Amino acid sequence: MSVDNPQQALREFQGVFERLRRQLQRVIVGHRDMLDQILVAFFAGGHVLIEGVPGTGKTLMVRSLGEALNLSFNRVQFTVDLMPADITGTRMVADSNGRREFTFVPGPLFSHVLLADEINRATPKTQSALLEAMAELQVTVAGTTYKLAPPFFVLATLNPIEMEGTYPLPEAQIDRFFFKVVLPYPDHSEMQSIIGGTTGATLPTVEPVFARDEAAAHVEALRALVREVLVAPHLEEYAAAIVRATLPAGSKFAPPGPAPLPLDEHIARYVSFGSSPRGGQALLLGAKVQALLDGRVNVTYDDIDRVAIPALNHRLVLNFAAVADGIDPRTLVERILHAARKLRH
Amino acid sequence: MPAITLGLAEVEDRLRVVRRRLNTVTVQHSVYVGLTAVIGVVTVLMVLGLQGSASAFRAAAWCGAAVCVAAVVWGALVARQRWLDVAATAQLADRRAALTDRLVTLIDLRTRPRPAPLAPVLVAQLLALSGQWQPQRIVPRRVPRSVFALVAALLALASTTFMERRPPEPAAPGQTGTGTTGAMHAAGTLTAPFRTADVGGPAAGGLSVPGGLPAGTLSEGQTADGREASGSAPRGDSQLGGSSREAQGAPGQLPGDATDGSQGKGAQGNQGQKQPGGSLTALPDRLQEAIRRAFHAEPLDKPQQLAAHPDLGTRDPSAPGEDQQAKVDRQHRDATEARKNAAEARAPEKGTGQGAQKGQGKTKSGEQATQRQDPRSPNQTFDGNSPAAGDGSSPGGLMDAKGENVVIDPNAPKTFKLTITSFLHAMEQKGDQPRQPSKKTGMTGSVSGASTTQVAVNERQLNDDSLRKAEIPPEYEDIVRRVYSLRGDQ
Repeated sequence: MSVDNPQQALREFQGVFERLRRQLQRVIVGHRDMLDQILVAFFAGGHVLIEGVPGTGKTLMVRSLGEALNLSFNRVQFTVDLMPADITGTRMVADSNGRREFTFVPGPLFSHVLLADEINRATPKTQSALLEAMAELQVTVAGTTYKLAPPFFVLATLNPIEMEGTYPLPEAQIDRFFFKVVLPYPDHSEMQSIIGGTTGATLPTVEPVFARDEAAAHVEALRALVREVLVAPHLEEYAAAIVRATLPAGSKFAPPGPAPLPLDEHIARYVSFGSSPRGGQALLLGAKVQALLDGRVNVTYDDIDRVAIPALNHRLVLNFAAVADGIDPRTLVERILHAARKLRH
Repeated sequence: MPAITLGLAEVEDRLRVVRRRLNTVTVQHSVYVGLTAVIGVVTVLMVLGLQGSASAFRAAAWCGAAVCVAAVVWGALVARQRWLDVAATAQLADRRAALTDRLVTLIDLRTRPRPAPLAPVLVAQLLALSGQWQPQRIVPRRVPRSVFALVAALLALASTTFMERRPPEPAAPGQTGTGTTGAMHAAGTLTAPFRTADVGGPAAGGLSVPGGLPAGTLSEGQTADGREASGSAPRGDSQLGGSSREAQGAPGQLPGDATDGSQGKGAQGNQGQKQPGGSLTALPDRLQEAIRRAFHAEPLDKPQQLAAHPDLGTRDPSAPGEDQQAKVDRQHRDATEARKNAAEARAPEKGTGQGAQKGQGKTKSGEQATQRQDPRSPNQTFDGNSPAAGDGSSPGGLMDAKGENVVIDPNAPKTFKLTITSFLHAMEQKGDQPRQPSKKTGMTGSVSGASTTQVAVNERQLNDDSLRKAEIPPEYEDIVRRVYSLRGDQ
């Protein structure tokens, strides 16, 4: 696939996306929107933080995605005693032709798809080991930098109910996740399908969409296509206004000048820190994927709105008042989107 | 890729058409709204001019001017604000044709050139959706809806042509002038022709007689002020002057024709004048009757005109059936009585006539002063030596009895001489020495007995002298002239 033939590339993208969705839905019952969000983040080149109670299929979803993409897949179960070298790899003494020398042994980070299961159970030091890999696709061990092979995709899961012995993710770590997807409990019909489908003699399996040797290149080509999607200036302005609206006015980090949108009183009351520019990048890149999925090569307002909640909800740092009042970041983002409708031309 | 380039040109061409249509509609809208406002203001002013008071009209005129200016400014601002450039046109077309920002994105791509491998796809999609953004669909109206407002405003303006003018309000009794010599009450006696003359329209028929000036000419210089005072204002000195002018230029014209806006002017001019002899306000009636009877006047051959005149309407039409001798006696008796009254009235009038003129000249406004300076209406001197009207009038002359074939010479003298020749003949027969009358010059509207010619008068005429020297309003000069003319015909 090449961008030289954009019409064909567009059709190819839509086809791949649809095939991936279909394969994942063979093993994942329901959660169609969550699956789409994960795929959007994947093709946008981001990482996904999945939050959900145990048993809702988080790990199965990530593993199925790796299998469907036919990319290298590793899983790391984060625990308190997990060390950074356990993730990034370490130098070990190896015997080579009668000589002993340090040889770098790559960790589970060196893969295309990494499942960081229950990432909040590791210490912040270990969690921070992912920062460089997620942002710059490289790992530095003992002064030596090792490049990660693209595509690199991290799927981390969070267990929100078992807070004992957990370490909240640092803000910088959270900000590096493209989307945060919340997996709710399945509804009644989905529960019935899950029970019936997973207790039989044969378990559903995932067929790979790509051949192994060409999967990485194929995915990279699709990611490049996503970045070619056109965005009009007023849509960039719209996305920037949404991000700006997440910043509380009282913050000393608030930018100077008037905001395009009036400050929402909930934002002022409940938000300590708003979204970073990465939030805006996530908005536009996610919107571009949405546009391609819709058969367009240009972004619209609706594309931005569709990805706003998963792109921004984990970037809002709420204060104690919000926790006390039970404020969900999703509601704050929805309020911002509602206010931003007047910016539409 | 040539195909893509051609497609882009097609998109741009269509966008240009859409933009032209949109901007045309915008300009039309602004113009229509502005015109609607202006026409609406004109309509309101028309209605107020016809039905409302002067103060309301004045206020509405100022407000209307402000509204017109505001409408024009608003129209310009709206046109400027709604004037669409290419990007804004693309945005509007995107929204109206549900193109999901494709046009905007393409236009932005054209204005900010950068590598865009997907641009051909965008152009192809726009061309595939060309049915959705036909100019006729995006701008369905070539003419904005505001044209209906303009049409409605025009209809409203046209409807004012069917609106009748509000009749003048009856004047308050206190509005009547006081003390002006020769003042005549016109209150309640004005008839339709007079009101017609008020509005400046042609006073067809009415009191005009053949040979008279068109009544429309009397409305020159009339203003709303005159209209306000019409119907009740007393005739002051200015009216005397004006009436004299009319009498000079239009022999045979009844003085009622001069009942116009000058009444108001006269009323204004009389403001502040303290005229002695306020009890003489009834003098014109008596003078008229006395003159008519003294000269054995026959009833006018147009009773309807007399009826229209406030002062002649009381004439008894049954008079011709009486015995001629008794009639003459009664008329003589009445004339004697009238002369006495006139003599009484003359004394204060001598002191007031010129004084009133002076006072009037001082108190009049600029317009009225201008009128006073009209060469046809300055102070006139009637020395009585000129050939009389009556049977001595030459056809087509100024005093033509029939009032026909009158040629108004614009270079004609501004004064005329009225000589009652019967007096002169009588004096010549009696051989009495003519009395040297006091020369009264510069008294407007007064008829001096003889200013340059010494005329001997007999006793009877001497009695009439006071009447001769009385200040006779010009309208009664006209009556005399008509009566004499009728007698001459007989």
